Amino acid sequence: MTSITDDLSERELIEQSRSGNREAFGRLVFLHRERLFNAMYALIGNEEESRDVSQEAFIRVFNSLDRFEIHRPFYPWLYRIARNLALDYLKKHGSRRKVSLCSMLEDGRSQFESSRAVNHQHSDVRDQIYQEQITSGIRTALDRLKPEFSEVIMMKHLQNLSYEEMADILNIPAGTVMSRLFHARKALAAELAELGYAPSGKTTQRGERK
Amino acid sequence: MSTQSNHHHQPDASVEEKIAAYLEGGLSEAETKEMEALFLSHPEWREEYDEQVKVAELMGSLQFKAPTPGLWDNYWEEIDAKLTTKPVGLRLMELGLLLLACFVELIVWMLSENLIYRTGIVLLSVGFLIVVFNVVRGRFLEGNKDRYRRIKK
Repeated sequence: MTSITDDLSERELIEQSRSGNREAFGRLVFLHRERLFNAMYALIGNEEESRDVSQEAFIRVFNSLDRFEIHRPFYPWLYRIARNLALDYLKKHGSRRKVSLCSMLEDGRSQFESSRAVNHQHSDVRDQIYQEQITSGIRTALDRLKPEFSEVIMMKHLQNLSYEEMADILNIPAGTVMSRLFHARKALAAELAELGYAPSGKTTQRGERK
Repeated sequence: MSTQSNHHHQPDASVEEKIAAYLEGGLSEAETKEMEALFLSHPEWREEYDEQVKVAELMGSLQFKAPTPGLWDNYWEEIDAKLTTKPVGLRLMELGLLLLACFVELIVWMLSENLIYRTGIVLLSVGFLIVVFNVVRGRFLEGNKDRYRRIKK
């Protein structure tokens, strides 16, 4: 069996996995497990179940590698298989997410912001408190969205998937994904406004503030 | 993974779709100019765009929490253990059933002269054996591999 080195590309790992190299597949699992787990966690809302479903997805993927088109991105294919398993699971058990998205997400800037607040002016502390409130508002607002809206927002902004990848996973046209995401963001803005966190600050082109 | 999209739109793509693509910088130069002209002539779309940008910025400040420590313990080992090919017993059963099916086919073929009758009997017997095999496999060999067994508990 070929020894796997760190510098093998994903494509090479897939090709080696296809020929039965478990070590190569283990590396693929290692590369994608956390991202996939997070996606399943957002759908199912339970760590152990999400862990099991993601493991099952990897097993299915290994058994179906012959059918994978090597020129296509691997993660969306893996995601689609895992998502189908998660939806089957939810249908079978008649359950939806048991914990809110609130408890799954955190402010990605909090560490930086807290160290900065200690070292700088009180205004920074106020900024931080404001930021934390906003973050809390977003999490609450996300929980209020329809599942199909929170799912596309999660896919785009937390999983960093492209429109084409999302379309592939959801089995809908890319245009529909874009339109759904537009309405999802709009619904999120409306929920934020209702919670008193109206997105303010008019922007100019591509997110630059006026 | 890049979030950039080079999605080029059909002329009838909705404004919502175009705004989403514009937000990602995924429009061609001509389409970008078209959008900017639209924003100038229709400030309400400009406001919609600004709202989309703001929400995207806010979402950019969130990330998933790190999972519980120990979540990845034996993660790969458990997968690896299930990647084994078919158990030897299952393979032997398959082989045995194949031989049995061939035997039944041979007997029926020898005992009857009517082609339609012989074919029907052969198909029926082979189908029956396959069903029996699947039931046995599902009930006794895969019963302890229910992927949701731990979840149900």
